[in-house]
Amino acid sequence: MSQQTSLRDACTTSKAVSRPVETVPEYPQASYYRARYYDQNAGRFLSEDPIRFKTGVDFYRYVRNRPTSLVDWSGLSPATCGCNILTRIAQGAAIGTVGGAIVGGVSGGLAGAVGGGAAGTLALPGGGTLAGGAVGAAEGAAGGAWLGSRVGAFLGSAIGAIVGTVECLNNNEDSCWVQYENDVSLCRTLPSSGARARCYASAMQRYANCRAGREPGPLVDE
Amino acid sequence: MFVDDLGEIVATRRLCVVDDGKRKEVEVLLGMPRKLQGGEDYACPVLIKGLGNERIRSIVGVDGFQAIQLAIKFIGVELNAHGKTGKHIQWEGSGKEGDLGFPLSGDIS
Repeated sequence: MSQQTSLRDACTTSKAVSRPVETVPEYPQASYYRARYYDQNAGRFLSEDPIRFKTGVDFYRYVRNRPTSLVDWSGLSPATCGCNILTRIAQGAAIGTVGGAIVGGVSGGLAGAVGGGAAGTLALPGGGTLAGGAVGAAEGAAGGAWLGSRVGAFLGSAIGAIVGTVECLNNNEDSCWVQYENDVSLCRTLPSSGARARCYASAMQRYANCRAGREPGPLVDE
Repeated sequence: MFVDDLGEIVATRRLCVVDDGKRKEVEVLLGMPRKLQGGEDYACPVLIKGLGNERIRSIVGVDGFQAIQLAIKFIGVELNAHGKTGKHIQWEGSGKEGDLGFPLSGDIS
């Protein structure tokens, strides 16, 4: 018993969970979603979405009616849940492709101009220098851009994968938990206790899938 | 809607984790299920200490039993997830490698 007491004392200093949904003591059926109130009995928000047309024409929706894949931390900006490794890889590849093409094109053009100019000088001093330099610059820029874009895409993808993995390790638990809390909020609005029981089990399974990096799957909400 | 403190602790389990060659203790604490404010359903608080991100998580069920069942599943999910990040978690009561005495995903629904 003394061990339980000491454990309890040790745990009371733990931080409270930070989440986008809070209850209102004086209005127990309403949940505060940072920017507006949701009435669990009525099954709808009590006021319009303050960001209005940014998420569509229906101002009473939550995260574009996609609560299983989006979350709204602030009440003003829907965001995706879970890991973003593939997104980060795609972003890294895109940035690497463009950046590599620019760097490769410029350096290839300079190298081509020098090389072409030198070759032109040997063949025909004077005019040959200019012509050879111009041709060399054009060929070098094209080749450099081609090579640079591919190398850049490869390096960008690799960096994106590393960044995405680190993000997932840091954020996966919290984002999965937000998904779970949103699921539970929906489950609690179901009138039948049997439906709520199935919904709660489904919410936990979706959490498990999310934590394992799998597609969460649909929420059983009926 | 959710509970933010453990309340009365009904069960604990001590595990050992090897992280970067160092052995540390992990403690799992399960609080008593409590009825949610403004509803008929129950929430069971859980705290896992020693693996980082030490936050009390309240697991909701339609009754106290489901809250406990899903809380135990949650613990298994969390330990398994941390085990995949390179942390080697062991339980002295386990008869085989990787068995921490908690169900893995899908064993309880």
